[in-house]
Amino acid sequence: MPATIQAVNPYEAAESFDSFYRREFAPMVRLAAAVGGDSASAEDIAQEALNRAYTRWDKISGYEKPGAWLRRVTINLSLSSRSRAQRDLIRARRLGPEPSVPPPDEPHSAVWDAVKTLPRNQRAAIALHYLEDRSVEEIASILGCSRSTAKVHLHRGRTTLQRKLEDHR
Amino acid sequence: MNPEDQIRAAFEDLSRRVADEPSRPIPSSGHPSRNRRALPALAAAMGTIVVIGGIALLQILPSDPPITAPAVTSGLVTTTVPDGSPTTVPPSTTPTPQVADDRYRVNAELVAGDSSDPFLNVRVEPDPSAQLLAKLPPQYRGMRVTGAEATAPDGGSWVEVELLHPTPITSGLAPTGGKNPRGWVNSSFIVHLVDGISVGTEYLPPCAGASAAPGSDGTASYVASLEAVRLTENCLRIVVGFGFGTGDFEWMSVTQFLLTEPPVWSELQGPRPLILALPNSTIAWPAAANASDVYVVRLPDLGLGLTSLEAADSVTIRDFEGMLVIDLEGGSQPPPIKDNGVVLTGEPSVGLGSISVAGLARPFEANLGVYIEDLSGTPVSALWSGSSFFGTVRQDSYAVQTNDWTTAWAGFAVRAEGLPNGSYVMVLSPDGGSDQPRALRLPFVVSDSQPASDPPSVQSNEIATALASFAHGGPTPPLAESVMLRLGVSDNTVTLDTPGLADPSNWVVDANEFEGYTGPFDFLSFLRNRPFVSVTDGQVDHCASPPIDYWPAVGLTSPPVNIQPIGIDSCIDWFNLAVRLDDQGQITEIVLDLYGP
Repeated sequence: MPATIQAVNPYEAAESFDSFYRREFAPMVRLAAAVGGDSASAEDIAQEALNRAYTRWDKISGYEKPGAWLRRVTINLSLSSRSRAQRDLIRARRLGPEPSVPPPDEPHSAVWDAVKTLPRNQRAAIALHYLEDRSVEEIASILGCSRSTAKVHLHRGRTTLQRKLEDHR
Repeated sequence: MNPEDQIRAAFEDLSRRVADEPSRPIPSSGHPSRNRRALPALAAAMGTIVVIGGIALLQILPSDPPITAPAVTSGLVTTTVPDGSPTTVPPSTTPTPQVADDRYRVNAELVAGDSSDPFLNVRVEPDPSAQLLAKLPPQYRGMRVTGAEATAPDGGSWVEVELLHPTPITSGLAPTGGKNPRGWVNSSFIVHLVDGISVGTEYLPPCAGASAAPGSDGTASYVASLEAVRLTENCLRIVVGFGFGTGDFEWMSVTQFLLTEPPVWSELQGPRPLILALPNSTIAWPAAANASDVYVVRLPDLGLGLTSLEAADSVTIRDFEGMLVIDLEGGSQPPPIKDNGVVLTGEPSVGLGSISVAGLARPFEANLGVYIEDLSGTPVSALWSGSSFFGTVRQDSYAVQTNDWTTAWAGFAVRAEGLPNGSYVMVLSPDGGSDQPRALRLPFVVSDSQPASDPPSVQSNEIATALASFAHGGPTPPLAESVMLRLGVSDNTVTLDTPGLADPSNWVVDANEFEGYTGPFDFLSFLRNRPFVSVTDGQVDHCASPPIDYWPAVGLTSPPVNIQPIGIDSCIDWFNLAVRLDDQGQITEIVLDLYGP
């Protein structure tokens, strides 16, 4: 007698892109600002990362953790000095010389100045830890490295930050 | 405050400063998987190689657009098998367009049935006597239900909708600040938009049989929006929406729509055929960036035009209330690359302290950005000159004007002088404003005594070409008796032996994760999915770091052949296929490397 087999379509429960976008836009702006150190372009980066997610949504929505993919792209975009240089070039080309107006006072400028000096992976690990309270395992998953490597990035980043802030006093 | 508290306070402050609500619109144009197109089948023959300095540009046969849509059917797939043994039954692989649950269209059957007023009325309040906000034609399908509901005085059930697609709005009621209009409709006159492609076509034939295109009535004041929707595989619909009463620009008329030549959409034959000319309009489409197959072009008289890179055999234009509907039907012509781009038409000339290049570019705007950086990525100053130059915008960069905002391919030449001896990369970036750089990166060396760099050997080119051909179904490349596939410097390897080697589907390393990417990793797919790659000998730069020696403890009989993509928009798309040859010149190992954070 024939048997009846049922298979569950794993994509059936995939989240809609709209809700993904609404939930992740603001966290990606924060992450981009923290990792890239440039609040002005953080929204651009967040939107670019989400645009990339959109163009690949058929695939990404099937991932176990689409948010991890998005964070990895956001971090990559934020850290890409080459992209920033090109954006600067583009901006200059379109708008002419950079304005000479100094940036507004930043109450936590010492912290952000110190964050900017951190190596890329340490900066990303620090941002994920302090912004999103990510565990070492989650940071490792997002950065695509082992747990021990993520732990080292986080530890060294925090140690360096604390030392620099002590020196700043 | 101790340092730890300082750090936490800074991050908490950052979190507070960014609002939770998205400040940018959600991408919503077209089907996601269409945004990446393969190169047209321009080359019937495989493997055209142009040697440029130390790089050979290898043009690979195109592949079909990579469709990555997962199978989406019903949640349960039921079938029967002849015996009682367990069987895995994959769900259907037919992709189904996905539309958000809150999207609705006009119930055309009901609305069009009233010949005296074949429109759906949108009102400012849930009341049939309330002021009219807009009248939607039967084919309108761009409503989003906000969730607000009300019962009208006559007992009818009304819902609030946001109008996502352009439509005329009663003067004085158009929202400001780029927001979409909102109003109320009787819920019995709208239906759920369950299929983003086919809905609406029953009353508006998609392509064949469409009526001729009339002009506009000349009352619109500005172009409000632009959207491209794929109706069928061979039909792209472009909807241009016009605004009334709130624009700052004088509307002339849409009386001139031009097909300047037969719609043959060829990549390197100059500007695209123009679909629509708006001669004196000076405002750009706010939503143009979301119309992935449509471009706004600036005409020589500073008016704007609309063009598409879509393959098309016929173009029909019709106008409706506040909309022009343009259908591109066809597909007999291969679609061209739609991205911005830059290609070189000859070998760069590297002299004492100088480099000169010439080629064709299609920048996002008028100017191709060119700059030189050292191997650490630091910009290097140079004395610049070039054809039709726009000028030096910074000390270390240069912009070459190639066209007039038309996104057409145009020739350019640029020269940099005054470079000290050293290793550099010239970056030619066509991506003004789009933040999706597709820069061409040309490594070169300035030296008093040595040539710029060694071009890849004939053998390397042949190996790369043969491998690319194999990836596209060609003959088997020269292979050793066994070939090891390895992911970077990891221990994830697969060793292929004859006869399995000859089957491209075996060239896969099934690792869960590598450099942040999820496996399995099909090595040959990287060659299938990229229109151009570069071929270099020896060690090459990682996308964002110095070279990696994949064989530190092995004495190589010849330098590895490296195959990398060019024209990528970020390191996310970067890869390196490092091919190790044995002393017979046969492939014995391939390392796939990707960029990871």
